[in-house]
Amino acid sequence: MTAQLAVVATRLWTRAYTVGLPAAVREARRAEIESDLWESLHDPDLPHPQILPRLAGGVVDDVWWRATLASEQTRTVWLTIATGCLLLVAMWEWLARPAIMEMIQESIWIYPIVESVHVLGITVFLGLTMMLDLRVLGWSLRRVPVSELSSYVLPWVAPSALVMLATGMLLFLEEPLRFAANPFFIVKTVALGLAVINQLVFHATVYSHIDEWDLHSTPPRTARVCAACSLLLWSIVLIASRLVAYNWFG
Amino acid sequence: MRRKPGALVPLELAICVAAADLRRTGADEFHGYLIAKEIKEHAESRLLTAYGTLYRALGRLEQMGLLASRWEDAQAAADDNRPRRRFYSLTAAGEEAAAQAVRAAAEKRGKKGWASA
Repeated sequence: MTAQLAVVATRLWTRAYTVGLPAAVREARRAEIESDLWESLHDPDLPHPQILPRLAGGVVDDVWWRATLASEQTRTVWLTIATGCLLLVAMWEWLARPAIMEMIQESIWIYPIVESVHVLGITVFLGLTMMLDLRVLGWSLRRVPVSELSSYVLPWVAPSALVMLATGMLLFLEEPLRFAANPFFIVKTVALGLAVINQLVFHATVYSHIDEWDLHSTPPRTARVCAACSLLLWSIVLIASRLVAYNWFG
Repeated sequence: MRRKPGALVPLELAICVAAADLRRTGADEFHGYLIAKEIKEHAESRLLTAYGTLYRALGRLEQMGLLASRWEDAQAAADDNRPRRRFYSLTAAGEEAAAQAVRAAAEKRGKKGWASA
């Protein structure tokens, strides 16, 4: 029973860290681990197969191996995301202080300025993201390689996302309790979280072997599903953001 | 820290030495589990090499040209009712690396013996 659970855990882990790799590399690694598991379970010399210790002992190497196989662009995206998260946490730590909250609430200028910058950040971020989504769906710029479009768009998307989130935090701090109780704000936050997860899945899976479909006018189905989800979720974020302003539930 | 080009880490050396030993016993080819067992016996260790560590090292050795690999015929595996094995074999360069490792280990032992005498 324990051995069977260990086999399932090993299979699941192998599937997880090979997701998004080119088919040949992915299948080779999975088949090799499958063969090793079979040999372990059928070895008369070792009646207690050491599956779990072998799985746990190699996790770091698995992750390292996977990272070396990721494309340069995917590595850059992950690095940007990690840096962005750290910056946001640091910013939140600095902003969520009574003095700053008071300043935002009392000044007649800060709120409109922050709100305008927030809208500008949204415009750049969503405009470019939707352009990329439409290309991945195969509905526009069909002759432009996806990687080429990404290389133009991503350097603007990442900073505008940071501006959008940082100013969003400031706006939230103006009246945190009112926002937290607003159903549209909750919808917006959930959709935002799902949109971020969708982006991460896209970059970790289908985008990591973009060289296989870069020039396709209609990219693979997984890519198109991610792009469609992105369009839908960002639209929900945008519409819910607008509706937050109306105090229907106050 | 980057290692010097051509330098092997202990596990890679252990794989080459174990593969050379297997060859002497008539097994020209080996699969991952077999080499893990062989290394365990050589090192008199309690545990087999972890999956991630072993297959990453095998991949590196193949890239360096010290090992070559091929997938077993699907029919042969199906006849035995088991998954296909990936067979590795030591190349001439791998054999040379194994011989060097054995010589280096013997020299080290010799020096130690001389020092303690």
